[in-house]
Amino acid sequence: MIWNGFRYFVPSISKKWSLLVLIFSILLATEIYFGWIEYLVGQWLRSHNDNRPELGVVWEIEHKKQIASDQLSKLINNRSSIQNGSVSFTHMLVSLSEGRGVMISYAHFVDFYRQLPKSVANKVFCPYLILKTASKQSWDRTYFEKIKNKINIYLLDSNNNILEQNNIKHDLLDFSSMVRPNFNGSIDDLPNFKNNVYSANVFFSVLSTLPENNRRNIINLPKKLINIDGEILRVGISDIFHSEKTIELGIEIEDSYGYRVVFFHGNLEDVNNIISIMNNWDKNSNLKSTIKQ
Amino acid sequence: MKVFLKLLKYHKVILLIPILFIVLSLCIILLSFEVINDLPQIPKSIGRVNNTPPTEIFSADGNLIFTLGGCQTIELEKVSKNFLYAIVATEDHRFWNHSGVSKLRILKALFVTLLISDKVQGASTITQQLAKNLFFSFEKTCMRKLREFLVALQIEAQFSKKEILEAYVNQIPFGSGAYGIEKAAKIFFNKSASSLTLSEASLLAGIPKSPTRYNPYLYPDRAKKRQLIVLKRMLQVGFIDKNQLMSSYEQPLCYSHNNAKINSYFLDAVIKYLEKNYGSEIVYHGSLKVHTTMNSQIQHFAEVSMENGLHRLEKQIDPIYGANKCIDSDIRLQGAIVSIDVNTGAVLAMVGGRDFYETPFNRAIKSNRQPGSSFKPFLYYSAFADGKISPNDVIIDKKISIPIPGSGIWEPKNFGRNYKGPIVIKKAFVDSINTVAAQLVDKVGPKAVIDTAHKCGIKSKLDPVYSVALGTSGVSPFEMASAFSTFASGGIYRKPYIVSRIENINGQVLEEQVINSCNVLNPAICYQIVDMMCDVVKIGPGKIVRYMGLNMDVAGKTGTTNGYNDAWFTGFTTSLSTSVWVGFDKCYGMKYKCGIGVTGGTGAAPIWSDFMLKVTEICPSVPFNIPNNISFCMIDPVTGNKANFWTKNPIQVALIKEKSNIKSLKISNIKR
Repeated sequence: MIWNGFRYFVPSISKKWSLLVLIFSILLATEIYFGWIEYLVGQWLRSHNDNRPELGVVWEIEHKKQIASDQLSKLINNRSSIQNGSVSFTHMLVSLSEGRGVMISYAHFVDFYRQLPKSVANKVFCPYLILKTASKQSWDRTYFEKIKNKINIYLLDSNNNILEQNNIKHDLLDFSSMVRPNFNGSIDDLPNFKNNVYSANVFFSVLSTLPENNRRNIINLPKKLINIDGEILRVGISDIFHSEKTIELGIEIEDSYGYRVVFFHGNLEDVNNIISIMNNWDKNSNLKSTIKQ
Repeated sequence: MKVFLKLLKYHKVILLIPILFIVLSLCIILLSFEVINDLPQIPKSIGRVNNTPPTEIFSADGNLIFTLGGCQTIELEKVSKNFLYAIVATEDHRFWNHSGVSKLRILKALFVTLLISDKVQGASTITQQLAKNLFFSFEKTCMRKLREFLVALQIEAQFSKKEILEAYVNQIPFGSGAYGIEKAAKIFFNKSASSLTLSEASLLAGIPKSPTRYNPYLYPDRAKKRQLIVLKRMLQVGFIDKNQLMSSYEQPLCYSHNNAKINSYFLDAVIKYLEKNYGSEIVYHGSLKVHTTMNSQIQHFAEVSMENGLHRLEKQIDPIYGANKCIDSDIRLQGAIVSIDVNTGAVLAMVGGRDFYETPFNRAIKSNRQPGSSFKPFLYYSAFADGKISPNDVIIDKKISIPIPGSGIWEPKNFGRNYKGPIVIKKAFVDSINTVAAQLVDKVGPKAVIDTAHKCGIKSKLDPVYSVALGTSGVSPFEMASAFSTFASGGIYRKPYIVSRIENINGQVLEEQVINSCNVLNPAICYQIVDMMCDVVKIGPGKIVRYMGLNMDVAGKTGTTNGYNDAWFTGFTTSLSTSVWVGFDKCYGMKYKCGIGVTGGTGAAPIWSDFMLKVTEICPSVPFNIPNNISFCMIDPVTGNKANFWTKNPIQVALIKEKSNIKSLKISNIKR
């Protein structure tokens, strides 16, 4: 019937062609009604979605959001790690990056100030000035900022008004005097260190694998070590905590005068972390040093 | 019909149709394979993609004054049904039935575009528009259209209609910085998208066709006409009836005026500060909370005083005097005002011109205009600090000529072109006598003046020439307000700042302003300058301040430049330091219709007074602090001798106790 109808319009058409036209017509009609070609194309594109590039406005915004989030996290983490993670005055000052500042509480500052050797404390603030400012009872916070190699220290009230301030050239702060003097002798002569002595090679290899912040928390003045004459042989970690948050590290050095040990304060948590990494390393390669190299 | 059938009977054309169609389809398929690799990846979730809270900027009094970037999305269920009906009826009424593209619309659009001249019709469905908004630029090319077409098909295959509509309403550009219905509803009607009325919804639904052309702020009539078209579409589709159409159309719309226009010079300065310190990614996508120093009320007073003052001045000045030099006759008189908290350095208000959108150049911060005599306090401070003269010393006001090595002879003239002969220093300052200032700068040298100005907070580069003492080196109102606040605080410089605290979205502090105070001036000498500036307001060229009713302790200095190009008044109380500048951008002079020039005292001081009268009600001030080593003495303004019963118009001078012996130092013997 349909065939005859079709032949009515196009009498000379062959059966084969007529069938083709018929099928095409059906497909076209169903496509117009159901949109199955669009659906198939859509599904096919969907199946290849993951292989395509992240292009377009929506992805650009997403990338910018990611950059913003990363940069903000870095800023916040840096600030809070200095603010809350600093174990000493030295540690806080060396962690400050150029142009940035950090705010700590009055109590936190006083805690740090108490730990400072007299010579350094006097450079920071005269103790009488600290007493005078504390007696006003308006001292609420302390702000540190590093600008052009200077450390500006502001004692502030709760509205951020400066009560007292001082500028110290970063280089003038004798950071080395903030830890105890060097020990003339081998690290084996220090009983507190004998349980945790590692070869310098292992210690610094593991240290170099850690993130910058953690490295600073363990050895906050690497330049001090570089400037020392002699060969670094071993690194010892004390059994006794220096304070609630810090522990002492001893670096054994050999020079023309013999052995000596230079001391540092490291963050307890980070030092424990490096110990566990070094111990695992030790199991694998038996690098823990028991004899002098 | 029979004729048509007969025609067909004898032609094999009908065979060509499927063949052509297949060939066309094959071409499209091949082209699709070509563009397929460049197609963007579609995110797993699309409904509320890129939902980011904006960076919020707050005033010092806690008001949210502006939001930057971010994308405020809203769940589809919460969007007003009125808006959903309106947008679907207008943009794509077959949205719920098609599979991403509407073949009938394409055919109709092709027909209209190809056969009707000067008429182009679009055929984009909501899904295609969404694909364009999310992934593509607005360039009109066939390849972009093909990509958009393919992405629309994938979006339809991947997401439900509800998700697509949700994504669409959250991405539509409405202009005025509004992307998405939630932000648009906030900007245009200051309400959430959930509570839009039919009238409001139909107006908003008409905007996306051309956000600028139908912007209700710029073109309210066009926007209203477009609203009617939307309502008619809704009626045609059956979403509303005739009564609803009429009532919605006639309902008056109440637009929100809480847009970016207000406070924008201040905001512009804040945004530039943020971009400079944190980069655009953090500013626009970091959801910061920025606390500024701007006091909304004081800012409002500043804007009103500035606009009223300039409006009044424009009526009084002679347009020909400026216009005869003007190329553009529509150049408007401009002004700037900056007000700083003396005790902290916080900038409470800043107006950088009459209209930010008209001229975004921030004259409060960026302008570099000669301050004229308002620069003299730095000169007099330098001269007093030199230790050889005091406010009671006598100097001769006469025609002078100072040879400048390598530059010929400098012959400064007085504003009034006359000379008063012997006069005490304080009186010479109050009357702003240039020849006296010239003798003083010759004595102390320009470097001392520049040093004092820099100590007080002037940051601009000042030319080390004698005329710097008369204010010939350009400065900004921001610098002047800051530098005068150093005098107001008794010689303590506090760095001015506009941002007090920046936090991230969790409230963790990124930056906090420390109020930095430095003793830069001798308090006693500083007070002598303040005392002289008090007389500028009491009996000098700034006395309009008193006439206007400001009777508290205020001090200030007027400044007028050659040709009446600039009129300045910078003054302070113990709590606020404010600088006002008035002038044309292109240094055209200002003269009243009677031929008299506009001075700092008549052009800028009234604006200053009007502003300070309002502000001092909320920022009370106390009398200036008098240092212990200051004593007062009444003297003869001509001889400098202690005044007695017979002295005519005696003046009071503040003297430093160790120097307070009344003397009559004749500087007239200086070789000039």
